Amino acid sequence: MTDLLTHVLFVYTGMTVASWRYPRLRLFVPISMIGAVIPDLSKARIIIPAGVIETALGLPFSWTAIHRLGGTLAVLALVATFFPKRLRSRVFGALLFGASTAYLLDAGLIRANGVTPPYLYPIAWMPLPTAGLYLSSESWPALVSGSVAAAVWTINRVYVED
Amino acid sequence: MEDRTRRVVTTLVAFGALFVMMVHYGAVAAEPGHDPNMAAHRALESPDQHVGENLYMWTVVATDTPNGFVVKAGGHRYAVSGTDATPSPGDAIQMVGNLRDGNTIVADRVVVSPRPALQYLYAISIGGLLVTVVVFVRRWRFDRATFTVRPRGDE
Repeated sequence: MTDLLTHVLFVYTGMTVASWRYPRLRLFVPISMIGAVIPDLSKARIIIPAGVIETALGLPFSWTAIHRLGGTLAVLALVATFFPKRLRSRVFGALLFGASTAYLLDAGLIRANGVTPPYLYPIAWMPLPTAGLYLSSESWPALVSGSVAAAVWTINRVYVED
Repeated sequence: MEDRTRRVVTTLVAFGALFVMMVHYGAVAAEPGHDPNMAAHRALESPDQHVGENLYMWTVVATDTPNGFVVKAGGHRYAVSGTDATPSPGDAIQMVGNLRDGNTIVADRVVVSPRPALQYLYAISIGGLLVTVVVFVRRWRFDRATFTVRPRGDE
């Protein structure tokens, strides 16, 4: 995973800049940020190991499915049900955009085998190529995304919202 | 269909689909050709049956040695050689290598994430969650009467 700060600042920047052209998007900026976090909910395995759930249920289990296409879409649908009907489709769209950027950034990670995990599950087990640009533990992605987000926030606050 | 009913049905279907996928992934991801990391960890539970196989895996360095380092996987310890990488105990590594025998992996490529860098990753990720929460609660609120999340000012 790319660090979550980079994830959310990347989508914050994109959605905020887009809102300068389409002001109605402004309300959905935080929704897209939530979407960017959702694939990494698979890290719940750090808190509750899959083995604990397997023992409790008597079934095989993996949190990793959340960080795959099908699991992510299911979680997006779950989250969208908490919003009013008139907003739900736009909320789902914003969540989907956020989650898509998360996968895009994860495709930039350095992988020793040069490919992503099978992100397309359950449609296919086929991996996708990675760009091999950075490790998730490197600091420069957050520095870059943070700097750009700060500039966008400033422009938005001073020139747009005011 | 009334919206409340629609929400309940959608929740049940989505949660059911998610649960099925989580169980299915846990059951089959370790099979060859599926999730290579999970397949490697499964293979390393029974190394004698997988000698000669190429592996891709994430794991943590247990100890370092004069000739390389040792990792724990599948309930066993494996000496890793054939690499110039010099990770320290506690570092996370990605590795492509060949299982030479029951307790040796010859690495083709090792990518190291040092332990301090992993601690940075988790700390800054928590920062990302906090930023998201702050941005979210500035524009949205939870309405208990309708059990929905609504824009602030939307009465």
